[in-house]
Amino acid sequence: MKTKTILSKKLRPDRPYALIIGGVMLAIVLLMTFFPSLFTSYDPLEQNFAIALKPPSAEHIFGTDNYGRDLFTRVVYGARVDLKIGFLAMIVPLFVGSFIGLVAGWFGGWVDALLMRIQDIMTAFPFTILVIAIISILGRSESNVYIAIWLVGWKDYTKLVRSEVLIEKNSEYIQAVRSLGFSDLRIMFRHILPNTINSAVVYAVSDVMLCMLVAASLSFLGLGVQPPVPEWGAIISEGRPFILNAWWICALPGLALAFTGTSLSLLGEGISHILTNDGRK
Amino acid sequence: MMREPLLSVRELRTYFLNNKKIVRAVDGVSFDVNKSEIFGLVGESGCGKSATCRSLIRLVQSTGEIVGGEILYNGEDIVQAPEKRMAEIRGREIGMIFQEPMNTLNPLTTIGVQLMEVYQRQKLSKAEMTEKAVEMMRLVGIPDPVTRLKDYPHQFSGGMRQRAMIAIALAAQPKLLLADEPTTALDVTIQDQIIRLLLELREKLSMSIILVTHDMGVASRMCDRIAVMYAGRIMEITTSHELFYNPRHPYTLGLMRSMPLAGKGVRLEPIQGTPPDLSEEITGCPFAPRCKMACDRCRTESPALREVEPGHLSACHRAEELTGESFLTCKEVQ
Repeated sequence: MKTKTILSKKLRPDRPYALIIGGVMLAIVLLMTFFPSLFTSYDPLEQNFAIALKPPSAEHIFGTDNYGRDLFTRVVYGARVDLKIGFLAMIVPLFVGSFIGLVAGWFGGWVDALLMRIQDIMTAFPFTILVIAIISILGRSESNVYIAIWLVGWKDYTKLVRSEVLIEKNSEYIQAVRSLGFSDLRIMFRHILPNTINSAVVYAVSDVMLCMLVAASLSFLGLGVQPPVPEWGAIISEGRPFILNAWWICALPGLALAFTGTSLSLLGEGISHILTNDGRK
Repeated sequence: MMREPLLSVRELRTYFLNNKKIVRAVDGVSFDVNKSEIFGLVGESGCGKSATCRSLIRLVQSTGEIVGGEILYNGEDIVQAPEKRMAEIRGREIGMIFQEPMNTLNPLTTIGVQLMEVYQRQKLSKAEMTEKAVEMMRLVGIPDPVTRLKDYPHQFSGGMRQRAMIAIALAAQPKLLLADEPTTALDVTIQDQIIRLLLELREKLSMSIILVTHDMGVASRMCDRIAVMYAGRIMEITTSHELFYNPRHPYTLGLMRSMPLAGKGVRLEPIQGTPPDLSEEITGCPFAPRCKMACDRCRTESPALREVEPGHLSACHRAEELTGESFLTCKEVQ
């Protein structure tokens, strides 16, 4: 009895803490995305050389960069760019990759073999290297970052969904709907997909973070978003020459990236917990 | 029995590939099913009865394939039918119900949606579909069908789920229902209800049923005729009465002797040994190694299924020597 009361007063393991904390953190980032003026009154692009490279203070809480722009403002406005990239880069592979996985798993045979070999070839290359290669062919720009991640990112969803489809395919209720003479398309989309998409959705949440990191790395390398657009990776890259005497230009946008990443990971964890516990309650 | 049969299976062979070995799960099976007849397929686990059943609507698992024979449904060969025609046959001509009522319904959609999905193909309006679904639920004895339509499978008990499954399978009004161990996963009282329901539905809808079971008791209660399977072959086919009171195959007799009889107070006599490995070539009778009556001929020459009495087929060289023994006498002999 005693342990029970202690538990109920302090941490209750059945509460979705990961979901709540991740949700609150992401809500802050989303607020920055949609209402940046709530957080700061400065202009992210306005330069003022008189106050260049000032350390964090009450006036400029993240300090200023080499052009005298308020760093906090740039980080706040950067949330919009980074979240957009993360979300758009994730959404297309989620749909396309899941669809390919569904087709490969359901039809099997040579269709499966062909799609899986293409997927193997993609996996053989490191993700970032392949993305960089594609961008260097297409040319550097924000839209090419999307295209490059789309071309590479689908394979993870394909793998996830395909393996689930292979399990579901032989389950009794799929046998049952097949015995009713339903068409392949109907069985695939009405019966298999809803029962196999869970893990892909959970992965998609953390994939937003991975896409953001890739996009930030690309900007850091000068391949993605071009200055003066406030993108976190690009800001870090700009701060690199001054890292010894103005650490804040690199560190604080990095912190924003870590903050957003943590929120998405927690959210993903919380969602997967709910989805796997679904049947028990 | 001179009528044209609804389903006629001839020399059906369904083989599976398992660890690079060919498993002859169904090895030359022939039988007829008449209109509005309940036909039983009985045998031990792994004797090929489920594989036979699934072959009839061409839904064998991906590692298996129908390699020979024909399945004539109303004169049309199902083995040769194009996939498009198969989709029409499945559900509308031949329906199927399965062993595990826990797993045969999609866990994420309501019973109503799953039932009405069948009617969607008939292009009915929403109201008509609901009406038909309610009618169907009532037919299979689900109480309070209107509210139960909105329930999810996990809100149904095992017996109710099996009823729902039967309702879905019968919604498209098939003329033949394949019932693959429909009562095995249920407890005895529910088993009894499902058996009664199936018997009642056969009368009302005058459909044929193929019942796959390993339970001789269930088979005797339900079936008009029974085929006993062993090692992918049919050992004996006859009416259920004949099978129990005048079996003409030592394997059937063995099954009877290993069946518990309530109140008789006699010891069970199990069949010694195990069924043969179906991935090995079998010479002679597959039951010979376990058969007390086996002679040299049994070990070298495979017995064909032949008519030993009118309407009574047996695949045993020594079927004639078995007269006068039944499941009752063999208990009393003890």
